[in-house]
Amino acid sequence: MQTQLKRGTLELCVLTILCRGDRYGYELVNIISNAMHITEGTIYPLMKRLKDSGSIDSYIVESQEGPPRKYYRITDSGRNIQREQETEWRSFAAAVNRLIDGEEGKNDL
Amino acid sequence: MIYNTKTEFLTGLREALERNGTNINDIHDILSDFRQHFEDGEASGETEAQVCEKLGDVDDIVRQYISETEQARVDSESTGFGGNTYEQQPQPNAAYGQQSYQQPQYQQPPQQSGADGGRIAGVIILDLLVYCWALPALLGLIVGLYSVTITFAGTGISLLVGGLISIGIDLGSFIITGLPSLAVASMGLMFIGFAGMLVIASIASTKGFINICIAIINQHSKAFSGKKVLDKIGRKKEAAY
Repeated sequence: MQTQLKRGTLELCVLTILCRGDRYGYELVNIISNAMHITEGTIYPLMKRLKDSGSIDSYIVESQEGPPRKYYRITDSGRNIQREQETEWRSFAAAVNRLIDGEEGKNDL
Repeated sequence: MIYNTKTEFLTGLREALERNGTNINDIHDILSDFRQHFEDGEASGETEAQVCEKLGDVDDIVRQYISETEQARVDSESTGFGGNTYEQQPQPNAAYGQQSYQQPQYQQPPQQSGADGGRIAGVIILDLLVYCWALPALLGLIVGLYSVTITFAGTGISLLVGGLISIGIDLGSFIITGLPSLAVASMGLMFIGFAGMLVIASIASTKGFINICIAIINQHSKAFSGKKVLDKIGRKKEAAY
């Protein structure tokens, strides 16, 4: 799959996963890389941007067996962004599918 | 650069970030994220080399940080965050340039869309608050204008005819009393003149009223289907259509 195409939608994937619950980095990376082929290192830069823009924040959880772990959590504004992007993605994907299937997208593209 | 051990990877990452002028706090945070990633990977049974391989090229990661920062700047400059979602991200490095693809313009401006909730609501509010009383009132005014016109015309014609007949009778009886009859006849002419002006006013206001109705119909059809259905009367059709 094209890197560019994936990069644009990765944000939606991350926000959606975090809408369902808090995750730590490795966990999040694994959920995504189990679903699609990604270069795992590129998730962390994305997390930084999402955190800087206020869509997500992070907190540290002390653990008994290892060093403290950084968890990511979605913010209210992140939830709004996720909803908006999901709607946008669905209509975009539907339009592309229609076009590929040959039923010319009438108004959507 | 692809590394095989955690230490090499973290050192390589730190050096690459430093080369790109990333600030020291960010470097610290980034390195701690990756350090933790290695630890979690090893805890779930991966070797350092496997983690390194899946993380990918260190220079790519650094480039990604830079382009995400650039993207964050673009995001904060734009008014709506939604619009940027699928837009091509800035490419600070030529290595990415070859993979770039043309972003399809799938987002349509709302003005050209078909049914539009906001506009439909606006049109309905206009219907209820303005058109439902303004149009009948306007129509009443026009009907009134026509009746006044007809009254003036009728009065004028009767006065003219009556005046002329009495002039005729006066002449026939050779009694020169034609002056009042002449006055009546000219009053008739005056009324007919008024009626003529009123006819012009009536026609103009009827035309105006029809054009208002057409504009309202078009407003409705634009709101519901996005298309204009009627052209105004008394106006040349625009070549563009």
